Amino acid sequence: MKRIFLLSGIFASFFVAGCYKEYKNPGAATGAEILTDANGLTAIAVGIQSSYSGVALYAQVTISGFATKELRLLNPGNTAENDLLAGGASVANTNSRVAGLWVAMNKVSYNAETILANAGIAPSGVQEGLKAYAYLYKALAIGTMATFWTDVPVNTGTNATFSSRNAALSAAIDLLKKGELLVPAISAAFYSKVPTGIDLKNAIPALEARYYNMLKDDANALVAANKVDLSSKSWFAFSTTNTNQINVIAIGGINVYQPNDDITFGLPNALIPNPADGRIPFYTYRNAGSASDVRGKGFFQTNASPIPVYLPGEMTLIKAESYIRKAGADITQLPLAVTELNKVLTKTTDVWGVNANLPAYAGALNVTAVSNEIYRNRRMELFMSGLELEDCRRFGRPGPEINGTERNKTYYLFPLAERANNPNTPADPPF
Amino acid sequence: MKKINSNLFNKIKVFGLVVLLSLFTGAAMAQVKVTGKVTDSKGAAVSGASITIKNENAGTTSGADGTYSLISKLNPGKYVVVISGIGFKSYEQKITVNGNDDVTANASLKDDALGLDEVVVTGQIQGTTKRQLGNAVSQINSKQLTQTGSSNVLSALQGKIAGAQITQNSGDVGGSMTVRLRGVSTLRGSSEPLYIIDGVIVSNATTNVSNAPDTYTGSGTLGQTRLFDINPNDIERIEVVNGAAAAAQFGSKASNGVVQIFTKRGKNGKPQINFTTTVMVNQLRKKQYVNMAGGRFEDASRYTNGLVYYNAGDYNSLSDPSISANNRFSRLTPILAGPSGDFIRNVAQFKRYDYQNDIFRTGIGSDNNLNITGGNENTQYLIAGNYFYNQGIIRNTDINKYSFRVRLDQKVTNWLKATVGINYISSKTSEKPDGNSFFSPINSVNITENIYDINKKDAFGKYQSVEPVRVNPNTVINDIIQGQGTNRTIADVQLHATPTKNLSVDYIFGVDNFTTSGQQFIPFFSYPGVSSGFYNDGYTFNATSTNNLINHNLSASYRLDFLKIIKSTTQIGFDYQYNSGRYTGAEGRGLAPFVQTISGASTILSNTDSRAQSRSRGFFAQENLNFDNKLFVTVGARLDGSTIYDKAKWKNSFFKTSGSLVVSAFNFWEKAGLNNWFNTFKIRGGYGQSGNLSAFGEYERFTNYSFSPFLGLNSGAPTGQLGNVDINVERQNETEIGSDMSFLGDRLGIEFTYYSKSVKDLVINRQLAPSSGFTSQLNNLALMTNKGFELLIKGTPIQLKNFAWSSSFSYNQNRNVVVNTGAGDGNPVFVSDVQNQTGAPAVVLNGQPIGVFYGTYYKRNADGSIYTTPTPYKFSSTANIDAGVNIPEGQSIDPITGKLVGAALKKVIGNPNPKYTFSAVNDFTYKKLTLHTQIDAVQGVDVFNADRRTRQGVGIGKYAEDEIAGRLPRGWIRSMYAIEQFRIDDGSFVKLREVGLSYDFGKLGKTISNLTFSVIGRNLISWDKFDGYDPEVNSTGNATIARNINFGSVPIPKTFSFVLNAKF
Repeated sequence: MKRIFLLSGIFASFFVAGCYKEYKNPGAATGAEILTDANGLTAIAVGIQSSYSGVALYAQVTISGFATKELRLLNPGNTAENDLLAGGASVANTNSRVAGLWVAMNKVSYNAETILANAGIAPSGVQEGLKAYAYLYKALAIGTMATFWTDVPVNTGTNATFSSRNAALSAAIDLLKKGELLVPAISAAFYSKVPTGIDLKNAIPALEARYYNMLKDDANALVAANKVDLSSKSWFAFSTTNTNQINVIAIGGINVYQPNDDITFGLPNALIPNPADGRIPFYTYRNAGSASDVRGKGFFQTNASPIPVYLPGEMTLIKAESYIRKAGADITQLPLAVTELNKVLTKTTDVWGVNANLPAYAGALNVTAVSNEIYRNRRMELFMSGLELEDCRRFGRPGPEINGTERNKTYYLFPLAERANNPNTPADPPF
Repeated sequence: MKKINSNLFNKIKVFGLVVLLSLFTGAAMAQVKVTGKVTDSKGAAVSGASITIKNENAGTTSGADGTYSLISKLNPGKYVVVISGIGFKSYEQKITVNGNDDVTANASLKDDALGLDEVVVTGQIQGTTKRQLGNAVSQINSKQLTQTGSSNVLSALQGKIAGAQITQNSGDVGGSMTVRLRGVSTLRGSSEPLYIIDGVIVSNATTNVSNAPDTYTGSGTLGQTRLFDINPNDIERIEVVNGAAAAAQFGSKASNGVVQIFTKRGKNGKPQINFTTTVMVNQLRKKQYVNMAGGRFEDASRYTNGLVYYNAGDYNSLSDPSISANNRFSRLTPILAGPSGDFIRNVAQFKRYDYQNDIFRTGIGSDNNLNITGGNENTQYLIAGNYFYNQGIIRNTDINKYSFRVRLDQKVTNWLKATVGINYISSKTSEKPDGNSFFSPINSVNITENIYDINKKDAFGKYQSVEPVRVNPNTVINDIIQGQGTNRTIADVQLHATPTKNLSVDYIFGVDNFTTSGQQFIPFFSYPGVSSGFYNDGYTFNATSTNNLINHNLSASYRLDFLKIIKSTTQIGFDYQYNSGRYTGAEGRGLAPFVQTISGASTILSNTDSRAQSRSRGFFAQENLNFDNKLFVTVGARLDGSTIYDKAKWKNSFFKTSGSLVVSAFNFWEKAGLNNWFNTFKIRGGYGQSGNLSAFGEYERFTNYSFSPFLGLNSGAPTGQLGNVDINVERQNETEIGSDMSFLGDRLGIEFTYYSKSVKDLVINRQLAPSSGFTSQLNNLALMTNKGFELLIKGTPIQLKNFAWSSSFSYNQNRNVVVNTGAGDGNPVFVSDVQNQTGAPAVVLNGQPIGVFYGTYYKRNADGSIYTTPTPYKFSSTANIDAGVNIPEGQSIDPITGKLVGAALKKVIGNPNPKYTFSAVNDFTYKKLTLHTQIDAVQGVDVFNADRRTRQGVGIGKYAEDEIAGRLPRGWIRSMYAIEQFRIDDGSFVKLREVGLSYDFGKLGKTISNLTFSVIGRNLISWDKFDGYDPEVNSTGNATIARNINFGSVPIPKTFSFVLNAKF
């Protein structure tokens, strides 16, 4: 009997041990849990900024910079950058920088939607802040995609549908307007939970102005740009641990790329900048005095340098551009454009230190000449901002469509991951 | 469905109890002592032979002098004593028991080429013989393991297991081993077999604790494989089941096969002391070709006159404004391009060095083993100790390891035996960074042009800079401090009960606990110019991985004979396993002087704290029927559950069946006279199902939001992977058929097995459209098949009085195909994380073998020959490449712009899975002198040789030398950079794996009962066409998909061992 008791006792203990047990991951929260906690939502809001301003921001600057001859590749072993430099058909739909940007922007968009759908659980004051933040970043994500692609999924989802970039930009502006209305109700409690740097009151109309300008909606662009206080600053903040990726990967690392030169800034001969332009030494320096080893600085000088969300000069130049476009039909607008342009040319007191410090415009007073000058100034003022490709296109500069050499690509292919898994992916652009 | 499952499970549980309880009946018997001596055909004592009484539970093993003594309670009557040993045919002797009288049964065992009568336990509860099995099983004995010249149990197994491909991934002291039995059976999990030591499931995890995670993320599975801890000298024998046989016993863990290790145990008799001491000498087998010709592309303006000497530290002096930065920059890879403008075509003369002399050395080591065994009829013990020290062939790398082992077997009562075993291991390695970075020993050499005198020091005695961005190889060797240490305990308690004559019950409680801690320290570089990516400001990393595996195993076996010729064995069992793991680590950069720990870092880069636990349990039942020793049939079933699945999906059942027919045991065989030359003919076949618990992590079924600090705040985001609670087990179905044959009085044996495995519901991290907000999701989507065959021929061609030649040859081939990857036809699923580090385009492609290389390839002419450009082309607006170079298929020179146009096409350009492998072992014995040789071959395989291109671009390779000398067009290498096929290299090799000469002095004086001296060479020769050190290489360590990549890995050394073994 003893044997039986002993053995059956051991067997019995196995039945007890053999049941299911739900182990919880102490190192992460599940999707179901996170949405029930207001602090979880603020963490997602912070996460959105982290993912927008990280490698994704590097990708924007890099893609746009190589497309418009701003950058010089140091090591062709960096395959994705090497292909971006070559442009045209060399930029495959698997290019890791292009695909990475696509993924990051959709992720930002998805996370913003998550916040918008669940912000109701947060106390008032915080709730408005969460939503305004989410609107801002969702608009940024859509606007960024519209910069590089012909069509954009405005909302994420399985088999997401695409809108033309114009429709997408309008949608982004609508989001920004919703956010703008919420700003006055945001409490201090919210601002203490997100990184310092984003001045929603000014940043939202600044982006509205940017996207209206991309749509060439001059009247609305002027209204929005005028709302922005030019002494205000909004920036993506970094630290030595959460680093400025453009510095870490390229400018500080000296293995990927640097500015192409400090003479042309990638512009054609007819638009070569004035060598006295104060923005040249702001954005570049010559390593050990060598003209062939030009290096970047500007907003990428250290791994903790903040990167502005917009520059006051961008707002002024949007105004100038709106007036000059209007001047095409109404020549009386031309002096207004020159006035705004001169504000940028003669600037010495920029909040970010981007001071051209040049004489006022003395060129021909016709739409084409002023328009060209505005374009040159955008390229100087907004060097390595990720906006160059859009500018090059909008100003009708010669691109690959007509064997032009000012940009090597007009729009990018939809990434393979999208094409292979979403039947709604539109046709790829020819150039 | 859930309800039905759990009811079924409960019923099985109850049934099991009833069966067990109904069998507890007993009867009193007389105690009988059976003694005897076991010898071989030459009369020499055979130790470790198994002695059992047929149909009884009694059993023992023979001592070192071949004698045994077995005490059992037996009724008076006739019995059969069965004596078997590895390498011998089993021997049966009838005995008659009369009351309490002692009985003698001596045995002279005959050699057995096939080992059909060797006892096999894997997939069984009670041992059975290979003769009965429906599946192929490989057995390796202790002698085979100790004549290999390797102190790593897995590398010692190379070439010894039919159907296995065992690869040493690098020659690093902390390097890993990869074992594949009949190919890969998962995409995401580990394809390593299940390892069991004395009944305890042990971990063979590979965890990186010493290489900067920031740099190595996604570059494979680095780190030591933990079976490194096991000392081959402790092993008595190993059983390897490649396929379905183990399905019922191990179910959801068995899809990669099972390796069971049995350690040495105590033996009856006076204490025996066995001492082995080994001295090892490790050397680089073959140097890599280095360009030592003096030419170098250099600016004509400066370097036209005479031979130029560069000293390390010149980078410093170049802050001298008289030397323009233009020239300084031109120093970096001038082969590929100048600083601007056209390619430099002027050649200046430089002094070149071979840096290999600065990083390699001859390493020496020693391995000392002592074990003491002894005991009496009731108690047997083994005490063993090992101290091992070995130097790597990379300077300043070594291993220190010691281990203790105790095994105690105790008879508690005449129906209950208890055994306890404890193995403690402590190891410590000094390492250098793994290959996959440019601050590893090999890569710092590969990526630095050899024109600097790197041994020159500055006034403070510090090494000086080489070219911009790069690291002086001497800094890596002398200043980077890296290593890891492991403390491990594997322990077990086992009870073996035989409450009745026909019933035996076994209980095993096993624990495997280990902690591995490692660190890497890169001091602040004393010279300027080092890339921030190589931590120019200093770097520290430390990590600790703690693991705890507990398993309980309870099983019962009941034997019943009926109708005289049918013997039935019924087995049931339960097991329970609990795993918990914890990994903590921190890394930082910007180090304070003299400080190596994380507290000295000005910037904390990451701080990891991950924890996971899971448990699983299973119930199984198996029935074996033996029809008159001619036909054997086994059927089994298992029900498993694991908490890595969602509760609704956590249970899975697995089935197996197998059978074997010994044709030669039938009367007609003897009547036909076949048995004179065709001694054994057995046909076998089996089918089994199994699973894999490692295809996804404990919490991967959820959409997980991970958090990290961002500017002093919590930042959260879902990982790119969308959750899927429906994810379930990968289910493998395997069928094998085969035959075992022996001829000419068992002097020639042939084993043949054909298998076909398919893994359905293969888990794949399916790509999602990014517009969904996620990039991937786990799905039971794909299907993978492995088909192949294993052939083993063993024989003794010559057996004379003083001379014998024994030989074995094994041949394996496996064909792997993956389908339904979810990526659509022709769309590769890139192993993106691996691809980034080494540029190796390893992919999973529909309809192709796992891990094929998919990339750009040579443009060819219509006649199939490789196309060369007829005219120069413009590489950039300012740079021109000469005519006569290769370009990728899909591109052509635009006649107007002179540039290359078109997109380079991609296709499968290489396959890391070998077409076939074979091994040949030949042993020659002349009197007391034995010559042992083993040749291993891996054929029809490609290696992605990343080093090949790097070395050309840097200017130290053969092609670079040719381009500089004008034997290749200028720009040849630059143009080749776009063709990934250039890095595909022939990885086929035939290696002289083992060659050893040993002399057996026999008994010496009164104290030494036996003395043997051996000289063993390992990996001495490799016959291959590989453009590098060694085609046996995996820079991705123990990764599953990205295999055969050569990127700065330390080559496997050649080793000479001098072994002295003495028994007292």
